[in-house]
Amino acid sequence: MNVRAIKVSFPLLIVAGLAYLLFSPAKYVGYAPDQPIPFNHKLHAGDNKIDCRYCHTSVEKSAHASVPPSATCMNCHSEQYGGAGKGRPHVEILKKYHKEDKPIQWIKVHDQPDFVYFNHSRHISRGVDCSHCHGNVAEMEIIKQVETLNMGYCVNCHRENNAPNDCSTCHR
Amino acid sequence: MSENKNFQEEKKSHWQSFELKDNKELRKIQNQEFYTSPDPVINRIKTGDYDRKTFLKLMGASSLMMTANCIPQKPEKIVPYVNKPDFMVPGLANYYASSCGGCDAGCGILVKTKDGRPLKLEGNPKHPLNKGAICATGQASILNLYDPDRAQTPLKITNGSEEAISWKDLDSAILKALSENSGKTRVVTGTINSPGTKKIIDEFISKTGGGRHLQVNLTSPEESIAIAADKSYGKAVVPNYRFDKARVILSLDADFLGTWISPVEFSRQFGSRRNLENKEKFTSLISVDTMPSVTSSNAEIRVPVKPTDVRKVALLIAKAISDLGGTSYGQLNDISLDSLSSNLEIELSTIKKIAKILWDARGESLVVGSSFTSEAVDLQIAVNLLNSMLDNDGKAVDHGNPRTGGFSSSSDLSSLEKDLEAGEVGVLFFYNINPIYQLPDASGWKGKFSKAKLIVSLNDRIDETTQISSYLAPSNHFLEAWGDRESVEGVISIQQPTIQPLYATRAFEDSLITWAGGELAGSKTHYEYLKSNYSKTTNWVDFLKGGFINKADLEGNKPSRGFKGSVEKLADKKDGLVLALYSTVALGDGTHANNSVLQELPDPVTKVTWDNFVAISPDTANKRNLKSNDVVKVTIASSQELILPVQVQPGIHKDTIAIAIGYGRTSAGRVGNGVGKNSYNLSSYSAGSLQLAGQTVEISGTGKTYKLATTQDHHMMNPGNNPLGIKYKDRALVLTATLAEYTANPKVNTEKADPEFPLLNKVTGVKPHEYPVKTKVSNIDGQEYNEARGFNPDFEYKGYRWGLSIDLTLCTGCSACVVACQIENNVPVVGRDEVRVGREMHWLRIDRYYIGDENKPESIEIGHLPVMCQHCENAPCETVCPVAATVHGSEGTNDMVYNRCVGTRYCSNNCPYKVRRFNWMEHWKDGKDFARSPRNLAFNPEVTVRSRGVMEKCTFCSSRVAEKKIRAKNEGRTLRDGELKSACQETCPTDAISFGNTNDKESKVSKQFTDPRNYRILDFLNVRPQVAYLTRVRNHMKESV
Repeated sequence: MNVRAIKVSFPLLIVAGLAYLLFSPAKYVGYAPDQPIPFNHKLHAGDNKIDCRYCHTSVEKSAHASVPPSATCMNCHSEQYGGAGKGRPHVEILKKYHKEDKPIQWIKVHDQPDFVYFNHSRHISRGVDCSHCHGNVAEMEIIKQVETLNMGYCVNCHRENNAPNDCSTCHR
Repeated sequence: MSENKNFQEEKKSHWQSFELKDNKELRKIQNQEFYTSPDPVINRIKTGDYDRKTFLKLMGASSLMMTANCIPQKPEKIVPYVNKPDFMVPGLANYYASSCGGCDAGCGILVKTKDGRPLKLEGNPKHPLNKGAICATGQASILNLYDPDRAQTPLKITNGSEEAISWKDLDSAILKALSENSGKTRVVTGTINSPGTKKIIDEFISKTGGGRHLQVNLTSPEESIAIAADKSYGKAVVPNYRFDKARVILSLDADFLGTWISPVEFSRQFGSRRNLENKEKFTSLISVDTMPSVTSSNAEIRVPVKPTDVRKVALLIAKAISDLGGTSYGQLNDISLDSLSSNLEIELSTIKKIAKILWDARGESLVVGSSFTSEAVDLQIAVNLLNSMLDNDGKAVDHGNPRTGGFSSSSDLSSLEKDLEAGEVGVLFFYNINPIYQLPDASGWKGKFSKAKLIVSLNDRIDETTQISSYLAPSNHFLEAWGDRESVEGVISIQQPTIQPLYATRAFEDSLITWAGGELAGSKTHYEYLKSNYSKTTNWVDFLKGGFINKADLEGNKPSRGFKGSVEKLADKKDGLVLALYSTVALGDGTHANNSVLQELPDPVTKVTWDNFVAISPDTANKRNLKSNDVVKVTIASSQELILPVQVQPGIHKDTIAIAIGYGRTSAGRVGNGVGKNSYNLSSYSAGSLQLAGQTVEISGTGKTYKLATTQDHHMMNPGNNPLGIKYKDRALVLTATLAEYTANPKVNTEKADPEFPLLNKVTGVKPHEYPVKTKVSNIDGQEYNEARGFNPDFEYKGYRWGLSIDLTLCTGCSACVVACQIENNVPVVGRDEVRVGREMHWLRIDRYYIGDENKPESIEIGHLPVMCQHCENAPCETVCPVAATVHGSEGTNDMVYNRCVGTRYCSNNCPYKVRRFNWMEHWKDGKDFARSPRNLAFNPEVTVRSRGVMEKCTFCSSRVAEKKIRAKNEGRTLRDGELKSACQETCPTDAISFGNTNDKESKVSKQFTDPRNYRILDFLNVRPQVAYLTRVRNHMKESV
């Protein structure tokens, strides 16, 4: 490639890159990655009406809602306690994981950057419903992100509800 | 020290750096944003020394980098437990009561663990010794757990090459050797203050047919204290000292606030008496020292001496006291005040004054001493004599609760020497001791040890001693192992593991149990032994919860012992330069040399990092035409030599040459290897002990220079240069008053504004000490402007408003806060080269000021000023940030938003306090030590790990604020005072730092904000700092003379 080509293409590349940044669609809305087990929230939270907090136990106490240990799943799925979903391929995968003492490596869907410190317990105690940010999970067969969950989304809600808007509320 | 010294008049003599004492160079440096121009490339850009092509290149490269970074994040994984332990809530911290293994003091700690990882150590507030504080070493010792250079498997070492073997192979090899050499076992350890471990060692030895347990500690003063106690009182005990029972303290070269025996406990006690609400009990400290230390920087009277003269000064004071009417127990007859004081070149009036002060406070004073010269024991006898003369024995000298470190190290080592010569040593175990590093090469110990049949090291790494061993059976870190500690008789602390061993290591005690055939003292593991043993006398679960059992009567007075020692004849006068090897606050005896945080901790007095050096007085430097950073050769009579750079140290006696020990490790790890020089090689070994001081030395220049990485000229605040052009010359930043001045007028310092005082005074008539200012005044532009509110007149701070206060009367300069802040906030270590160009990252620095004349070492006083972000209400940094990355919070904090920062560094340039730190490197990623796995496990998950190109600074521990605030809000209440502590406050041994809500008028910090002593630094700039300093009050005891 000659020097002239570089001189011409370089600014073009930069302009294209900036344009992409400015006008690209919100990336994470609708994000629904493949999980090691395609866990069905509709079946559990919707049809069987299991409370969110049965699995996400620390949501009222801690910053993290936490994904349950496979022992929690086995409360219903183990043979001993009724063996729900026995024979279904994904339930069998779960049992295999549990039997081999291997943790299931879920893909994080609602992922905030590392410099954002969101605290579940504060929002739940304040009475914010889970569905406010996570959408109607009880209707989702595969969990997906429905809100942008970007800074504007957080700040708007904080403004409307008179919640603190200091930078250090979320950034530390 | 002159008696009529008035600090108001002498405040001009505050100076920070010896080399830059008030000259043009100083002003130049003060005007710089950073100490030096940081980088040649950046310098070229700054000076505009580049052409159009370079400009385009830089622009192109930066745009490319910008766009290349804009790719979506990699998906993160959530990995839950298979079976979650019940007590574990992801994201919430669990605290375990344990005890600190950083040194032998045995402080009680709380280990904060989150998601299974120990993250931070705090003092156990209920522990009777350290009462909630720990020191710099303790704070940093958690990083030793995550040290990548620890041994990770058992090793077999043949001719210097290591080979990883399994524990099974190691055990069988050792079992074989033990059975072949039955009855000749030697277990050589450092100080073991654990009753359980002692018992297991003894049982192990008897089970392997006999042998000996030898405790060796070459740098502890306790052995000489015990021997002297035997000679003086008939029983070899190391008393515990009660600095809180003393009104006058005489320290004879014992740095009890920094390194001596149990500094945190002693600092706590010392601080409890520096309380201005109780002025009659306010302590006065007299320090006779060979090297300015933390203790001497808190002294009212300093007497700099040669190491060989410490005992002479002690006896001189004793003689002067006996002249005042103290009984001399038939000693001191051949001492003449006049001739001895002229011999020592100390003014007799000073000695008489000290004697008078001590005599007036008899029964309520304390004399402590430390010496590593050939007169070590004799000095302690003189100390005992003084304490008995002053009726302190049984009061501040608490011999009823002896410390457990007073074993006879030297006789143990000499007996080992004999046994090795005679071929009586079979298997030789080393644990928690590194004699090959500490014993000078000339003593020939390497050859002596090789006469043992088999050497097994149980240290945690391939250190110098492990290298001469045949096997390494690596022991656990103290956060991975069970244990107990009893550093003062009757106070027993538990040590609990808080994490599974990171590597294939095994606790020392469990190794011994395995080698004894799987059972010792009726237990199969050390845990089982401790549990069954303590369950007999106490509730095991309560013991684990509380962390300690206290059976000692620490408060009550004990009967005094009759002094029956005899004072040896005085040694002849020694001319010429005399060597003093000393331990530093950061590195101690060198055990923690691979801890980068400690290597980079500026020494409280010298402010040097990453090296040891030869400290000489300005007088000697002048005479020999030396200056700081000149490399010299230090030679002692026995032809040992050491080549080290010089640091000119004000306040040191003109004939003393001081060098720190703990440096020059050759096998500590990647951080500690080759840092400084091993000054143990200058010590002389005889009869089992090291003589670290008192040898005659000679120094000669080599013509070379070596730049020490000192922080003393970095981040200088410049009152003389401010945007308002106000002349504010030389007003001291550390305001000091004597107790007499303070008693006469509590506002003594803050009230007396400079004649040229500033803006507030001139324009508004408001004096800076009158915080908070309530008057409504007109600004220069004629606009209505509320002083109390700053830039944003309509904003009212409702709810919380955070403020911090530092009582300089209490601050000893011990630097525990610096390390606590660093661990809490993931502050990186940058390394020697970066420190040299002023890029150290400490959010909290301690400025050290000298007060006095450098040519009169006895006049040098040392003041410490901890400086962190002042969270100015009218913050100059905020107005210049082009991207609003630093903004004001509604709770009065100056917030820093890392993800918004683009690194213009305008804020740092505009910060009058020079507290902002810029990330020149991606320290967490490519730093030399900082993030090497598993070091990253030690990161506090609640604080962002900053990347390159981002500014950072003290946040008032915003993560702690958020955590506590959210908990309180969830519980539907507001925060109580004292519930929330900043990291620096929590670890402070003297409670000098208070943090809290200044809107709550009952909070401690509000009270300090309105204390008459409160002042703000550089307050004339009207930046309205939210950090208050309280005048440093010193009790010069003028009234009693």
